[in-house]
Formats: sequence, structure tokens, C-alpha cells
Amino acid sequence: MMQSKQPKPILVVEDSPEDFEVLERACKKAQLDNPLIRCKSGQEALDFLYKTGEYENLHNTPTPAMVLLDLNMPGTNGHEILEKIKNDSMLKTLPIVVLSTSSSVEDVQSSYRSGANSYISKPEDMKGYVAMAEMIKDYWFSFCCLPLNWREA
Amino acid sequence: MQSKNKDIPVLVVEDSQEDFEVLEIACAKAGFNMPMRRCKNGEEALQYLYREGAFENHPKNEHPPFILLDLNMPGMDGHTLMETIKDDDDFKCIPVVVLSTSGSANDVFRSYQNGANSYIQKPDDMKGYVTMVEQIRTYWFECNMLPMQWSVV
Repeated sequence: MMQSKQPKPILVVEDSPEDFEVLERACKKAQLDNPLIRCKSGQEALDFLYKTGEYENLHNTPTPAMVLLDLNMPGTNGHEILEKIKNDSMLKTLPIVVLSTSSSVEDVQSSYRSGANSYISKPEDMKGYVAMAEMIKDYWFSFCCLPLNWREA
Repeated sequence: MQSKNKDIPVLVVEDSQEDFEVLEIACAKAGFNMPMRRCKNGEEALQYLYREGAFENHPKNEHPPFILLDLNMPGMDGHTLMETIKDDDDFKCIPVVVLSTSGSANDVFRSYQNGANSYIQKPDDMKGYVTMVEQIRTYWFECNMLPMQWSVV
């Protein structure tokens, strides 16, 4: 199979349009070039990953390189998504970075316990968001080794 | 209680004395004052985590905040140790980052499948090690939140 030049997308699971917009602008400023795909709820994210529901007929949905996951969302919350993905033998290698306003020890510990690869508490301003996007870019997309995804392996 | 936590060492599971020394020197060069406890293989790491054998008098309930894990070791190797840690309810929330000479897609995939939080290929030289230590500090200890309170000194 041909390797495409386009970097793989990052799946952003985020119910807040404002927070998503800030993240999008920060990624642009940090030159994090991976396209961001937004799912507004946990259920939508699962539909995207499993190609079910509204994504059933979208055969060209690209496989994400990583998931940025908000925790507190109406409906299926972040913890449930984590459990679901990390208990699925096909999906579990997909790196999930929690991105939440919560910095409580309970949320951090339970996220790791459910299989989160990393946990970042949402920055307070644009400057913080840009710094975070730069660190994500430097660490995950240029420094460390990411797994081939379940459709490639 | 909390202030004591910064003294709990990071666990480095590494059979090569030489590689461990290079890591120590790189930390010193990067000005990263990270207390480390080295275990030479999987069995020793498990004894350390469970406070058994030579470690039975070590304080209990002081889990390492972070684990750096080599893969190829005599005796119990890194893959097996990873599975054991990530199957244990007490230890599974500790972030484990693989640090291996292997860059094979298979080792990377298998590590993430067993629950590795991330995967780093060992650098070739001291310069690379210093860069790696800086990346680990910036991402894992500054950007990311660890499950146990731990502050960089």
C-alpha cells in the first residue's frame, strides 16, 4: 500500500465548540500539521472508529494516529470511551491522551487505570494551548515511536 | 505526606549497567534531578514493586511515579513484565514507557498492545540521550500529569 504524504489525523473528542476552536488555532500556531477530526460526543467517536451509525457508509474515513479525549461530556463520557477502546483488541494500541479541565487525582488515576496513555489538564489560555500543542508535536509525532494502526498491522 | 512523594524514585528496568550509567549522566547533563531506582530484570522489578525478597523492608504503598522499561533482558523480559504490571490493579495506573534498542514495528505494536504508555527507541550516543531526557522531562513531567503527585526538583 502506498504511504500517503498527508499526516494521519488526530481524533478530537470534545463537546465544547469553543475548546475545539482554541485547540485548532493552537495546533495551527504550533505547526502541528495532522488534520483534526472532531467528534462531539463519545458515541460519535465510537461510531467513527467502528464505522457505524452516521459513519457506516463512509469508507474513506482515515485511521487516526491518536485520540485527544475530553472526559466530561454528556452521554457516553470519556471514561467509558477509554474502557471501550482499551478493551478492544483491535483498537487498544491507539494512543489516547486525555485532555480535561479536571486535574483531580481521582480523574488522573482512573484515566490511567482505564488505559489512558497520557493525561493533560487543559491549559488556561491560548499561550498554554500553543505550548501544549508544541509538546504533543515534539514528543508524540517526532520523538517517540507510534504503533502502526490496527488496519495496517 | 505529599511533599515526601517527590523522593519516590522512578523505576528503571535495565539489564545493561552501561546503558543505565549513560542515562544517569544524561540526566545530570540535562539538569534533570530525577531519583532513579534500577532493577536489572523483570523478576527483580516485580520483587521491588511487590516489596518481596531483598525489598521486603522497603516502605509499602510507595509506587514509582513512572517506569522506564527495557525490552530485551535475560530472564523475564520487558514484554512479560509489561503484561504483569498492566494486569495488576495496583500498578496498572503507573505510566510505563518502553526504552529499547529495538525499533521494529512488531516490538512497538506489541508493547502498545500490552499497555505501554509510550515507546522510545534508545538513542545512539550521549547527545541523543540528553535530548531524550529533555523530552521525557518536558512531556511526561511538565506537560503530562502523573497519577502520583511528583514534582521536578
